[in-house]
Amino acid sequence: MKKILTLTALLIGIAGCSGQQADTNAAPVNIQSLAGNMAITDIRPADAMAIYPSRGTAIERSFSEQPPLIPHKDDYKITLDKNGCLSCHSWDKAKRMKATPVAKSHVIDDKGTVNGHNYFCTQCHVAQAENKQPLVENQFSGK
Amino acid sequence: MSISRREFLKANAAVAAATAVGVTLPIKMVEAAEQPDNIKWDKAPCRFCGVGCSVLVGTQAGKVVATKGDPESPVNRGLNCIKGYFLSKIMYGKDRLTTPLLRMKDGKYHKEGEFTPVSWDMAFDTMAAKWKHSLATKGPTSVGMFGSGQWTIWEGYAASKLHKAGFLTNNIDPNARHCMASAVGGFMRTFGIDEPMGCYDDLEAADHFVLWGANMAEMHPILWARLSDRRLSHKDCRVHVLSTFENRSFDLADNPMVFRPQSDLVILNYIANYIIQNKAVNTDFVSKHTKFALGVDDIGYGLRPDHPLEKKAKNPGNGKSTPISFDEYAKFVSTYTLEYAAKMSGIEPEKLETLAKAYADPKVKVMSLWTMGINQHVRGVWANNMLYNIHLLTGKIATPGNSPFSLTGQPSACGTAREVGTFAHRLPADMEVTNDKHRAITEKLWQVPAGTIPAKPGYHAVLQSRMLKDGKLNCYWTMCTNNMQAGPNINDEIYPGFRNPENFIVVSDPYPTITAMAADLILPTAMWVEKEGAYGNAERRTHMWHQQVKAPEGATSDLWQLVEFSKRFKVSEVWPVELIAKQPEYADKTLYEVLFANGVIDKFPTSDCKAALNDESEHFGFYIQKGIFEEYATFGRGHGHDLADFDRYHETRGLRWPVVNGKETLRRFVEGSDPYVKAGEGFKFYGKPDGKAVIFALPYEPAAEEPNAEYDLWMSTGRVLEHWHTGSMTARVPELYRAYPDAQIFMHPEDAKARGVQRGDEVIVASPRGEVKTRVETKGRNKPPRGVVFMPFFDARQLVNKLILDATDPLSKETDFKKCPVKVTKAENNQ
Repeated sequence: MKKILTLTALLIGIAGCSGQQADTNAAPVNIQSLAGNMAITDIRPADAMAIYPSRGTAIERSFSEQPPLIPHKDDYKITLDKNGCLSCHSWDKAKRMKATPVAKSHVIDDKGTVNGHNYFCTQCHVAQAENKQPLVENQFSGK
Repeated sequence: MSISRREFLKANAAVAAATAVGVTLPIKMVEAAEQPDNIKWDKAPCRFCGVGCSVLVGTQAGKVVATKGDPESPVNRGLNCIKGYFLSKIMYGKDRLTTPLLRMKDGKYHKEGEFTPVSWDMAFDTMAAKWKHSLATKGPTSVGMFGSGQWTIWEGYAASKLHKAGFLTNNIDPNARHCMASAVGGFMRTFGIDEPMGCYDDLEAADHFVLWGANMAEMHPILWARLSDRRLSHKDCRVHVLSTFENRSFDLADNPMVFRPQSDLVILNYIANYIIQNKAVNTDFVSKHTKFALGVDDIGYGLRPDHPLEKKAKNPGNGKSTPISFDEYAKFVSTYTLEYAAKMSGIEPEKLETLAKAYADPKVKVMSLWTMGINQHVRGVWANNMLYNIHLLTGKIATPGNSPFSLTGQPSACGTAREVGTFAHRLPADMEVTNDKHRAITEKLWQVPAGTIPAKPGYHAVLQSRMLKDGKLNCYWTMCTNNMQAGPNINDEIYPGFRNPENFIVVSDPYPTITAMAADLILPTAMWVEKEGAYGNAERRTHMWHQQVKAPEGATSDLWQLVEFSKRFKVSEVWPVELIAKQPEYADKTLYEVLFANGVIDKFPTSDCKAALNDESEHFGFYIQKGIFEEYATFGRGHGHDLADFDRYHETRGLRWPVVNGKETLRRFVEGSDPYVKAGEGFKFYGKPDGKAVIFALPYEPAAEEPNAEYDLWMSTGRVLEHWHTGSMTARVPELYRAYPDAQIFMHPEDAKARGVQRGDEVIVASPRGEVKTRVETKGRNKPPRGVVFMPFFDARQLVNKLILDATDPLSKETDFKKCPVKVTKAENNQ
């Protein structure tokens, strides 16, 4: 009896399934982790070092509230005394440097003084390696 | 509750205006509204770290289409970190799993078979048969589960109850064992009750901040943003940063200190000694609210009992202590002089003295912050105790800005792993399985007979791996975690147990992780806003979210899986006759009926749920999340762990427990803030029967292994800002992946030169337990001193934790991932 029930449930299950089929007679699937075909015990050769472009143009956002990505390398020093990003992106320099000025939401006065919460730019804005493509396609579709 | 785009913009403007003039906006709930662009917004806690930010999730046509910071959240006030902003994409990797996959050969399960799609029925039938066989032939200790500090509260509760009261085993442990167990041990030993007394509000009240081995700039970015704002806007604010290598948090440091690994224990005792020598002890506070104890020393390293280091230890795993006087304590720490601390740590004496003065000066409010540097430490419990020592000696505790604050790694390490008690030794509300009274209370609330819960702690995380390898643990289910990548000593102690022919291994995950690849059965799992959830963050804030989209067809939540699996067991199949005899009416019931449809959990109708979606409640026919929460909450109400009514959490951005008479508690143990402290008491550490916190005399003891002639560098592994843990979600987000695509080894340029390599070269990093190939980084965000290297563990293609020894703190059983001797050599065919 239980077997019959199981089989019935299975048939219902198959009928309602799409994509990867759930069937006892199904063929094996070749699933891979982010390590590809590498066995857990293998030692994989290292990929090329990431390269970040020294300059670039603004990257389109994939959804409206996304913080803009940095179209160039991001290793500018930010310390208590000096914020390297502001050398180009502060309100008084952005136009001359042809850089995007710091967002209005990040400042505390009409001179463009950056809010302490937003001081460390790289907590939200990151550079993109030019020699790397995503390991897995992402099917997100943004607004 | 949802908020519209227009309302959101308005709210943002209001928050900005309010911030500018320094007022706080009342929490306002905006009614759900469909917008012209049809995006519906609803709140959810972030899926990643223990900070517990709130985000607004935008959905349209059944998909998440955007996420943004929640301006109404008191934690993050509209801000997110880079990972939080990209939460929108974590569910949409093309390789989401949508069917159970069983290793099969010739149409049936085979350990060496290939992953083959099967129905959920077949998956659960196969599992249940394995579990029943194991329970019948080898008993309850042969089955077990590895769970997560990323489980929702009800998932952790269901898992714990299923194991402790259903399968009669305590072999359930969360990955929080690798992360917060030492913090728990520290709290229980010093205060007798878990979790911080202070809260995030201390970030805006403190004068000095001290980071003990925590790189908050990357690992707790939103709290770092708040701390940065305090430093930049409060003229007397100073930041002391201690770490074994220079990292991004040093960018804000007034007093940067790089110390030799393990010497933090010396520095902590030096500060205690400095406080005493300079007559800075708050004698009134100390005499009224503390007592002193001498801890047992030479406690070993939590390794297998036949390991030479365990044989050598006098008191392996011994956490006992004896009462001593203040004078005896003062004498104990008197040898920890400035000279000794400077010599052991390698830090300039002036910097150490500056640090000690901050703690000793009664006018300076100090907030200490720590996580993995202190917790993942072979003396992690001691280090936690020693941090509390210096705050207790000075009375700098539980008042605004005076705050020893144990940061949390995972989003619900507090809410689920710790408060629910999913550890092998714990029960809800800080109770323990070894305590007769605690088991009796739990059995009564769970409506199961006396003697149901075993009195012996189960296998903790590292022990589970060892017991799998040894063939003593045979049926194993892991959920919401990726231990084959994150755990220590993978080659020698984790992988062998998964592939041991005696064992059947089940992995539940949304994606094919490294751990899933080593399983026998993979169960496709719903994640984050594909289910209703509750998390508890580091400041005792319990917060909830509703299901907002449906999971991909075929994937189900951990809660559904656990509760549905329980239907496949009759009590008579899994309980011994003596136990059934105490409650014979249970014999023919299923574990589902006894544990979940028990008159308590199933008493709330599905109509109580205000969300459009709740797949689990619809399936089971009652509001299961509410039912579980309310049963669970009875453990803590009236006992210092009070939670509010379920519905309130959906209406707020969370509340900090204890919630008494509807009011949350900002700071515990102090009169005026904590409802459990009576008028006139001032302070009361009520976790201890006499109301006194314990100051422990504990010595410096060395790390399990130190660099030697062959393995000549200290290696630490850890996280990075852009990735969450093993990257199973974040590495599938293109922007996060391309921001930080590969792990690398950070090392000093002179160390690289001495090995004939330079930046970008491929190298082999080896310990006696394994090797990885990676590339050298001598610049960038981490700058180790000579003799120290750092590697992140997010990269599935560089399983660096293979190299880590599975040495643990012998009291907390938490692995030390921070002090592994390695050698680095140039790879052949270097390109």
